[in-house]
Amino acid sequence: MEVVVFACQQAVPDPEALKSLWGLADVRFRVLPEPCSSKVEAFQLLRTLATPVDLVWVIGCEESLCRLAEGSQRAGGRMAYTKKYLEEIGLEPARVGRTVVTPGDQAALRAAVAEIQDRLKSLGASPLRQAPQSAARRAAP
Amino acid sequence: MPAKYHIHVRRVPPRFTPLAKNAIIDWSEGCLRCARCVKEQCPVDAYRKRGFDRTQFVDTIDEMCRDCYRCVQGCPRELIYKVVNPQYRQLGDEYWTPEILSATWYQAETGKIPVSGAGYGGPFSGPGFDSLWTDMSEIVRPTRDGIHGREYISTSVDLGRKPMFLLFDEQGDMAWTTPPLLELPLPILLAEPKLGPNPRGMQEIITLAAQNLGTLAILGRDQLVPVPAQALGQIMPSYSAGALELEDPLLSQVRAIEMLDHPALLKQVEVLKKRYPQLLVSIKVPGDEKVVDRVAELTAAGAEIIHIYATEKARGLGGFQDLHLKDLIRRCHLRLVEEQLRDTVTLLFSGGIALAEHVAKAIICGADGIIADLPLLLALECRLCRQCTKGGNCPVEIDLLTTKRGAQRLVNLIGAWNNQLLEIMGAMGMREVRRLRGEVGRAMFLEDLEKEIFAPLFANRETELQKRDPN
Amino acid sequence: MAKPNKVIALPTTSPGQLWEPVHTPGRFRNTLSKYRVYRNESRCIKCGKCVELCPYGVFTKAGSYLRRPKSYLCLGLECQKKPFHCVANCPAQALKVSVHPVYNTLGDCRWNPDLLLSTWWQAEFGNLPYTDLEYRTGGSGGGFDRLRLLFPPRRGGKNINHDDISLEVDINRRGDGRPNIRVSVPWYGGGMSFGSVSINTILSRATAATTFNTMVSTGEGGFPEELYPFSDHVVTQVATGLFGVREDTLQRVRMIEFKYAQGAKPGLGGHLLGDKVTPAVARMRESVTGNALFSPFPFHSVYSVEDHKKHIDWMKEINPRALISVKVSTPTDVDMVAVGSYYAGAHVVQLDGSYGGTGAAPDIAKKNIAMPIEYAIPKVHQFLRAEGIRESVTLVASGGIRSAYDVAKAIALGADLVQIGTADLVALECLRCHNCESGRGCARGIATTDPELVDLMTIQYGAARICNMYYSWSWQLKEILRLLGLRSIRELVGRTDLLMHLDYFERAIDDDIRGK
Repeated sequence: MEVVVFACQQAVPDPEALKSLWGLADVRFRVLPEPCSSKVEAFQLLRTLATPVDLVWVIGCEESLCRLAEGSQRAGGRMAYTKKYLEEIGLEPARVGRTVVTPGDQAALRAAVAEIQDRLKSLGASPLRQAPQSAARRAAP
Repeated sequence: MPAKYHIHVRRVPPRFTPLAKNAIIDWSEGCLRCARCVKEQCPVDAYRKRGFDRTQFVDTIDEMCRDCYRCVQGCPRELIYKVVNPQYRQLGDEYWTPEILSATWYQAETGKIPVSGAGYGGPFSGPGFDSLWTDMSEIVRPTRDGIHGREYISTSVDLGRKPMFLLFDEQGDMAWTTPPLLELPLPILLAEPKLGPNPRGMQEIITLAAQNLGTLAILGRDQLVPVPAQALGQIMPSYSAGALELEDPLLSQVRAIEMLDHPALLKQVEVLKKRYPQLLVSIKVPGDEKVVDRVAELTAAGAEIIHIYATEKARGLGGFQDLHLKDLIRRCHLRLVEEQLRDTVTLLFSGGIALAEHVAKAIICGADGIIADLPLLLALECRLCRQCTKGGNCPVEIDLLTTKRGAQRLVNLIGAWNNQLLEIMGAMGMREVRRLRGEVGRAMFLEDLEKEIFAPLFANRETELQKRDPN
Repeated sequence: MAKPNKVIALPTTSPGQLWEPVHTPGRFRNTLSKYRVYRNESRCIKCGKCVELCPYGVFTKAGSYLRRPKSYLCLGLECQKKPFHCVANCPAQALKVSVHPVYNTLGDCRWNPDLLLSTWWQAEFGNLPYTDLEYRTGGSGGGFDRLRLLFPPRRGGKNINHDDISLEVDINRRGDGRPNIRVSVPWYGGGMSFGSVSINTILSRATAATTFNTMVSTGEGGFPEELYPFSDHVVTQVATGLFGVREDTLQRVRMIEFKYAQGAKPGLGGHLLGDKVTPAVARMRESVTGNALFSPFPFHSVYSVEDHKKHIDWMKEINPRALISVKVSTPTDVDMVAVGSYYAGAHVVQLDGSYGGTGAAPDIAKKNIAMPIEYAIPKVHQFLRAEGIRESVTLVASGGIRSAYDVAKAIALGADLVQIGTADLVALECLRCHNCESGRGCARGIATTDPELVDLMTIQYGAARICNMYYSWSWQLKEILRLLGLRSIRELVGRTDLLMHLDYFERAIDDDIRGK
């Protein structure tokens, strides 16, 4: 399985440290540093999910602390839109998720990782995983 | 005049979208739906052409954007921003900077010299190779125009021992056979990098590239892949200290080998040369505090080629860990000049050669040629994430690259490097790279310029300034 | 593309008449800035208090409608201490001031974000920004960026008035009977050819040069007819490709620039990409539309000082009233080249460093070939002095002069005056994207010949922006001279004692002239 995290660079200044919190050897955990969580657009979330990836997560800053003022708030709006869209087309909206943290708050990041793991456990592999030959390579740690 | 050396470059598009320096943040929600939206006026049409890279999960708009800021400045609701892309900034490390990586990718893709508009925008100077400038000719010393093919500039170098004089017998024939000499059309040898997800595939790629370029590929003997017969002349198997066996069938098939230095090496070389007199032997010596003496000693004993290696970040080893490669080269070169042995031996250097200018500058400092290693991996789109050294997956799937495609990217990179070498030499009015070696008179070193020009103006003015400003 | 013989409405000043800054805002809706003022529309109660409070005009109203804040006018984080700080005084807490996210992406080491923003400011208003923008230096970490002007501890010039200070420079110092040119400011416009930049850019620069009684070079690529009205302020260039060089163009001008090399690509030829060779460019250069043009290196007819002299004699013969300038790059023997040029008959020796240029140049050449201009100036100045000919030749520095401070430093290092190019373009809102060479050229309509892109800029706008910047530079130079206790820019030449290099000095040196 594979989890992709789009991580705002303010919220997650050290993506490697976030990766080291992961610990599940059989799930590929990718952290993509982003300039702001609002860099990630809805189509990007959807297409990432369609790759297929089993869970897509966005970690941004508390909305009032966003360096771009409105960025994190917009990311929240996009997340809501994406979930609604997934519901409409009959897919599980829970496969996308978002956490907001105070920049530099390690405990919050640990909690976020735990939440991602719980979510993944409850959802299991993506139903979009139908092409085993392309998935095989990616599933390896 | 020999046939003009030409490297056949051919565009090999990247398999992965190169990461852009800046990223666009586009907040389309809240958009006014202007009749003439700034996105439609984009001069490169990036908003319409944008796609999604499904292996890296990135929006391809950032790579297309040419930084004109017209959308950023034009949107009436200020919904578009350009920001620094953290994924770009994270590439490589402090020596192998994102700028070096992306310049290498560009050259490997196109085979072209990186060209840009407007003047130089980088720092004034920097450590190592960034602390010297190369000379140019003006008015009285004609330049050469090598790059557009109007004038011939030779980049050939010779590997091997050069006798200081010839001996003839009474019949006027040569009294001894001259030692073997190998002419390479360019002063760049290829070596396998220490990392990479698929060392065997890399060996094949480097071998094919060396064949196309007419240079040598330095490959470890222990793990050597089967090399096609027609490529044997282009490989230089590298033996670890003392690991050479005289019965190794390769020794009669290749033109040159490399051996790691060890105390009994000279004796071993002697035995080897007796058996294979036409085989060139390069001695690989670590660039540590003993290197200068060792190079002098090996040369005096008749060494043909010496390969001195520095770290990946162009620093010496051991007691020389703070010494930059350029100074390492100068010390070795000058010592041999002092001992009047410089012209007898070929000195090759490796470690931290990252850009075409490093080739020219290493040669100016005294190298006969350089050995490229890590840039060859970068040419295959490597991002230097070093996952391969930790057992992880290669994010750009270098292990899935075909040999032909990979080799062409190396040919492109070295083709671009060679053209840049021609530019530098052309500007100097140099006809051949052999003459560039050790020509420090055709370079300007930061420390010299400071000493000659700024120090007399600005140093030791404390007292005068004290008088002006007692506080 | 401007039509040939189009009548150009010039700003209303004539040569010598003092330019008064004309407020000329940027051409693009959102002016870039260091700080961003953000108003949360869902919180704002439209009380208009911010409009009343802010003395800088960040907030404006149209009836009851509050316009978007003009972030670039904001004082920035410093404003927190002020009683009129909008963020603290907003009753709805709807305002926020922070560093603009775009700020860090602007420019490069030499033209760093602050220098770009402060130059745009000067081009808009004709004065120095009141914000904390650095307007003197860039961020290259060496050369001009590490040099500081040494003002006397109790800054001098109490009794000197700006009107008493002269920025004039005489160009002909050979005493060979040819007419002198006296420029009113210690800089003139560097060569940017028709083809590499748009006709509107050329005419904007020419207008500014005329207004400030200085000159502008045509660059290699001919003398467009539209420039004829400015002939007295035009320097025409003869370069290795000899593009657009005709007898009548040489006879039209007061100074001819003989270009051996340019700093951005020393020792290499010029290259105008095929895309930029439009029909008009091709006509001017007597070449074929769409075909890339190479300017060779070097002059294949010049291989000695004698050959060089022959060329200069030939030009002097064609135009008996013209002064001859020789533009060279900065090799190790730049001092010898300068002396050789003088003995060949040049009035001006121009040293071109590698930080300038608009056309395409290989990155390797810009970065590595030839020495930085900061070293070349004192080297040549001292050598000419030792040869006893310094007083008979005019030394021009170019290729990296970005600000009035760079002008002052170059002159204190030994130049008589400087040539500028990129600074003019920055005044026209160039943001140093380094893409002038690709595709259709400059997407902001400055360095392009694409008809659609050229129309992004008018000459009125361009001329006013450059004049505003020149005005600000003149003011700064006069203020610098005043504080140094000097009455003429001539007195600054070679005064390295008025400079300090931070590598050789441990204490901080403040050479800010704002509010002093």
